[in-house]
Amino acid sequence: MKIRLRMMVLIALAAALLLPAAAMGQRSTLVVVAGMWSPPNNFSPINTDSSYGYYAVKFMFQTLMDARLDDNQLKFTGALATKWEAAADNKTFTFTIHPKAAWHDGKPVTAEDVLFTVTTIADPKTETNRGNSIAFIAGLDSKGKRGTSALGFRIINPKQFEIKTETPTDPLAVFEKFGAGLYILPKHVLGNVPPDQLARHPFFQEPKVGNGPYKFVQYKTDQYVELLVNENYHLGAPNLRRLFIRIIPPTTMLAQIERGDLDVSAGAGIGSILTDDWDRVKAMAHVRAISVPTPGYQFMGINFTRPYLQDKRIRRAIAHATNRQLMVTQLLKGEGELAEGPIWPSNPYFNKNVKAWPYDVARARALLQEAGWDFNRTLIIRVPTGNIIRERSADIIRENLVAVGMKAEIQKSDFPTHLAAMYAANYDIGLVGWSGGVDPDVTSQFRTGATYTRLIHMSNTQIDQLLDEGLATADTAKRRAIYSRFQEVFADELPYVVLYYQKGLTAVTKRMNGVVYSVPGFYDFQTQAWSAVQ
Amino acid sequence: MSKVLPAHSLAQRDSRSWTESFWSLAMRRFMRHRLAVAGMAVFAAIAAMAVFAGVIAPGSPTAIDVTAFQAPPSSVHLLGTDSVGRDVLSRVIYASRVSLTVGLLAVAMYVTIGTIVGSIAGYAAGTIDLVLSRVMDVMLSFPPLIIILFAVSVFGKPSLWNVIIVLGLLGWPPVARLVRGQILALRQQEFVQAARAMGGSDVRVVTRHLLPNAMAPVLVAATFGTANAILVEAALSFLGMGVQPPTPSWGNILTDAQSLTVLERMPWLWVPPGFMILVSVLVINFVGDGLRDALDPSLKL
Repeated sequence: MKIRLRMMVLIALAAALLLPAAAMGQRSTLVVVAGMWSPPNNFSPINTDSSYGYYAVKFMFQTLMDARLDDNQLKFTGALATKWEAAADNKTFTFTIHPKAAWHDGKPVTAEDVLFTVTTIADPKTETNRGNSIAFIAGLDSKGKRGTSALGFRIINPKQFEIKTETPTDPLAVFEKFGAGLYILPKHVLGNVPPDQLARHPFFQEPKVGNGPYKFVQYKTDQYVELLVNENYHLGAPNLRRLFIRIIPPTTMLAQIERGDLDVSAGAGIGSILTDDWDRVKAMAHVRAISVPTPGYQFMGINFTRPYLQDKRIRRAIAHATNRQLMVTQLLKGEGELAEGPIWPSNPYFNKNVKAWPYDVARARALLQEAGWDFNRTLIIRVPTGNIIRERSADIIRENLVAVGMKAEIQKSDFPTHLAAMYAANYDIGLVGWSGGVDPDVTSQFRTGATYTRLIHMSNTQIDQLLDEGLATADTAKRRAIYSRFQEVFADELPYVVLYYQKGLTAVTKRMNGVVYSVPGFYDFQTQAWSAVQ
Repeated sequence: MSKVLPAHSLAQRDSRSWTESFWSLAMRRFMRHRLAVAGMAVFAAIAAMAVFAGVIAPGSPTAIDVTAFQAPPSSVHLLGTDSVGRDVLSRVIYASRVSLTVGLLAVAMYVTIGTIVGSIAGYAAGTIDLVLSRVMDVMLSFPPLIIILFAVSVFGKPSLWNVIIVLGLLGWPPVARLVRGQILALRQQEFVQAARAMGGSDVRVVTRHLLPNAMAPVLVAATFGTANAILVEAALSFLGMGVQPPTPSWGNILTDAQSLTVLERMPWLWVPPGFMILVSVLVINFVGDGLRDALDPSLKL
């Protein structure tokens, strides 16, 4: 009796001590930790490394809109912008900036800032990897660099502007690439920096003036990035107070998630959950295991320069021989999708009527016989080290090819050596992974002579023609018809065999809300929507 | 009695009878070293496993069981299956072939090179010795694993034979040093001077009189070297630069163990190859210890 009384007093005391903290806590003490595998090389919103840097940038800087895929449809929500419209001719696009959108130092975000960002990226002297976001604006070349003609950009008023394109352009493409792909720079901070010195400007090591829901505090090199909530954020400050992005290897990440020291794994490619650990994460009571489709896929390139691989039937036989379903169910533990082409199943332009090449040993053998395959020939399967699932898939491919009577040998090498060998056409089957966007344009991967096309040594006039047509067409319905046809031709020609679209595996603790992982890029999410309970 | 025997045959007989008694003495001493004998027995067992892998292994090391990926040990797969559904027991048994081949061939190769270079340096002395010794110094100052990694990738495609060749070509300097030191010490001894005075050619003096007396430490070094080569092969294969899949090697079987879950909850994926590496390296080192004690010249009498 006495003991119970003492206990109650103790509990009451503890509650009294904790209550004020809890009342204030929602806003002042919430600390959230995210984890990614490697450090960012800088925090430049126009030139950081492709994944790690932009993960951090996304908290501090914003694009005009956020894009997300919903039921195979691309949906946009306002970030810095409140309105975005396409004129009837699909050549003029008007954007209105949120009246309260402001920089972290209190200055308003204006159309001048957007123009400054565009001209900076368009300057040939600027180091940037955002050219693709503005390349379709009139007056810019295909890399987004400025020529002599006038720039298709007009400021209507400080909070409104329009961009013009030379030819009619699919609004979805403009909104995705420009609206959701361009992070806006502060003109009042960087306006006087010569473009060729911008990349080394200290601002990109310590970006104190951003426009996003979080402010930069510090970066402990190779350890963590510390961010503080922006109380004046124009869409309402998130309820998190402080946010750390910790840089930790996969095994440590898993251990920290298990212990509850980490709230969010950064996601596919930069901080995802390893397939081997997936079942374990799914079993954790305090964690939501999130699996989302991504446009990232693995394929086996079939070397077109080899005379013995030029017969379509051989390539089809290889596709039939390969047990891709096994890779998805066993190697990926079901967290993957099958498709025959470079446009992923969640893409609005995906053609689901394309003829598939299912696992069929008998059919593969018959095709090989029919095409007069030399069964004494040994195929070289090249695979880069690093992606352990891909390395394992090579073992399966080899066994599959042996099962239909072919001879095959695996050659593993580090990634640069592997790429060099593929560019030099020194392989029969080469494993690589690629990613598309939401826009179905894949010119850079399949148009004769394009950068990545040289990796798979392909040239097909029909495909070239369809890709050109798709680029030149603005009407969404017409484009859909063109890319449907492209996917049919692709599956018929089979320049390579898509192995699987791997889903992004992420872990988020259940106390977190609003961490959305269903957007076109691998790691896009709306940082302003994050919230947590203690 | 007044008939004089040809000088070289006297020297030869002398040398042979000396070595014979030396080797039989060493043999007796080795047999008294219990750990070494046990090590030898286990090593013989591993060698037998490698030779008769096809008979011993329950199945093919590359066949995929599509119904069992990362399956725990069961009556069908005694040591479970790996991440691609292959029988771990069969893979570990077949992998012993790779490890032993690499260990023995690479060491045979570098012992040969090392002995030749070392005897030339030690016997010729002067400038030749100086140059060869500096070459050895330079080679010894490289971090071995890094240079091996580099060499394997430069060789074009990583493979079992490239690993052997690279290890063989890079491993000789310590052996050469050992041989050179022995020969430098021996060449001043009377029996060598006698052999030379009696007109024995350089090659003859080295191969008949010097080397047989210099080989004991080399043999010990070679034994330890074999254990080391097995470890290097495992490391290279783990990094993907060694034996190419699907050929199993203890090192590349270990590549499966790169996640916390596998390490903590799927021991059958990495304990068997790890255990085999441990045991083989350990027993070879026991044998090496035994040999070193048995061949120690200071214990001769």
